[in-house]
Amino acid sequence: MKSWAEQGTKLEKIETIVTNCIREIKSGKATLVECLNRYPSRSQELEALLEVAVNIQEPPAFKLDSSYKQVAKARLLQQIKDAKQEKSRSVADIFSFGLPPQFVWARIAVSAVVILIVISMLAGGIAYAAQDSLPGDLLYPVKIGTEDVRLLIAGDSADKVELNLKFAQSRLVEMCKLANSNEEKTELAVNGYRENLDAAMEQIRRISDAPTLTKSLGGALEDIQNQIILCDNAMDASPAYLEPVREASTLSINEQVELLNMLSQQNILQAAQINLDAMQNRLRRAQTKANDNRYETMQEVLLQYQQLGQLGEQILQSAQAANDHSVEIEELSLQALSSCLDILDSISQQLPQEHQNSIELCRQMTIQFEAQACHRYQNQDNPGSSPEEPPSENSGGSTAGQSSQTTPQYEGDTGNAGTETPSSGTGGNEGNGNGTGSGSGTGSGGAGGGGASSSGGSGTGSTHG
Amino acid sequence: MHDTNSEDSRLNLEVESMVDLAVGGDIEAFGRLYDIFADRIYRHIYYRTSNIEDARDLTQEVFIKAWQALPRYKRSKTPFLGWLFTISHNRVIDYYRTKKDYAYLDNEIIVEDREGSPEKLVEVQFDQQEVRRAILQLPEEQQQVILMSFIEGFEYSEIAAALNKTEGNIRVIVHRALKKMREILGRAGN
Repeated sequence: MKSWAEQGTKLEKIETIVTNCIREIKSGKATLVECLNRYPSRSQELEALLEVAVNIQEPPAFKLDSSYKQVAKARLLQQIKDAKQEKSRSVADIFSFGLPPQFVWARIAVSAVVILIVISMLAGGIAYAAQDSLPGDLLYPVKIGTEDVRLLIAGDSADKVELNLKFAQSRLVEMCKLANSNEEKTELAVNGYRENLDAAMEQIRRISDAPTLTKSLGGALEDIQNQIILCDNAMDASPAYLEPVREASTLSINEQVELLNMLSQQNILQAAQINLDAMQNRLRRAQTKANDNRYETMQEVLLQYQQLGQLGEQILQSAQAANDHSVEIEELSLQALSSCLDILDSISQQLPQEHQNSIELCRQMTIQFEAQACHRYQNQDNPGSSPEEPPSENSGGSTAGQSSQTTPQYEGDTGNAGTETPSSGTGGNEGNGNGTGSGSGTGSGGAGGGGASSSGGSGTGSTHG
Repeated sequence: MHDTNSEDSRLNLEVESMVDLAVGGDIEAFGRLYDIFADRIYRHIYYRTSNIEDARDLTQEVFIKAWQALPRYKRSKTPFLGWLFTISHNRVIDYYRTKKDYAYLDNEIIVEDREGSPEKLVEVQFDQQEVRRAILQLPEEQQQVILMSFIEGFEYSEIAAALNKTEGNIRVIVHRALKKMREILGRAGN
């Protein structure tokens, strides 16, 4: 594998340089001075950061006192055993009906009668009453049992997908109701949500008929979009137990990405359109969060934007490689990305310096995506260029479903013609994050003709003239 | 963390099999995991709280939480220790949210030198207090990444898996955190 030091002329991101230098210094492969000598133009910025890094040392090995540890372990295991027994006892208690243990047959008989009554009433009152129950409630198992029965009698996989996503939404509603009162029950609801999503995904994979699969994916994506909104609202309500809610939010976005990946293999144009809408949706939310000075949430949303952006670029590359609706997707992408860059500029203008970097990363990713879209778009206008030529070195033959872990915007391979990698803003912070310039050169129609930094924004407003 | 010797590999295998057993409800196997990881978790929490009693209590809570959440761990692709650290991180955050006491920033952590003087405990000063204070003033996510990377020695890929992010995201967070620490340390120096 090529070492980072050998990458020579390739333009590397400062974070890649810093983290690689730290790794080399920590492992003893290089000294701080050697690292600085490799990057003379950035040595000042690098030195300041590496000095901080080498000063962070592992603390001495504080340990638990061994006698305390033994006692604590015994207490922990006892606590777990007690909890386990409590759980099994509570189930046994339900079926004891207050009868002493020696009346085993009486218990069984009464249980059978009760079960029969319960079954006969399931269709009516109890099942209805259970619909409003929450994890931990006595009637909650009835609610889940009713759902299981409905899944069991559902027709085909497409119906089961629909039902599972409906139940997933119920789990989110439960989560919202519990997020201020009980952490464990909130986690139970989120666990249930995850299980419903997994089950939905499993059923989708079983659909072999292409039109049914496309229809099912479309419906599932609509449901997931609603669930993302539900999670956003739950996060905005600043619940007492934020972590499970945050987890549900991540699950919903991951599900969206996975579904879009699958859809891109069935209907690439539809997948591209939904993905671009989702990207803009995330950015608008980031803008709202920036307006509210909730920068932590804003950064989380921006990471989701990047996740969708990477998928969008992969979809575009797949379309270009297969020449499947590539022109339409390029046009859609250019329109959407221009709007995204406008929103990013707008956020950037009101953001404190310390948060500019996250905007900058999104901007770089967006510009790279835009350059990918422009490349082929311009080739359409240029009769001399071959439409079969791969749009970039890493696009050939890739499908949207692959390499979801790749992070092109971080790994220093943004060397598309005319794309200028901006300074991270550490030493001097020119332009306050606005001086990037799109660099894609799309405004004049000349490929790679841009690259000049502009202080007024991304410069993409005239991209699609 | 790179496991370069056979002892580490053996330990990893043991951890894997103990985790499998524990997920299946084996309490003794979970006890073995406690033996292996309790000190690491305690050190992590003590580093952040500088209060022995609180660190002990929180360590206990982390393992209780871990037991309850084990079925979820089965599906994550994170090293077990990394997963425990994410629980620890969240517990510490919740702890300070409810406590709203920032005195921990002024507390210094001390090390009890038992081996040097078994009769009389000697307090050894830890000479990284300024750096520690700077780390503790970072935003939560940056704090977690710096601690996992620099203090606990996790690889970026492992941190990424534990935090459900990409390795590129982690590099960006490290970079931001170092910049922020530089500012904080610069202010403290002035």
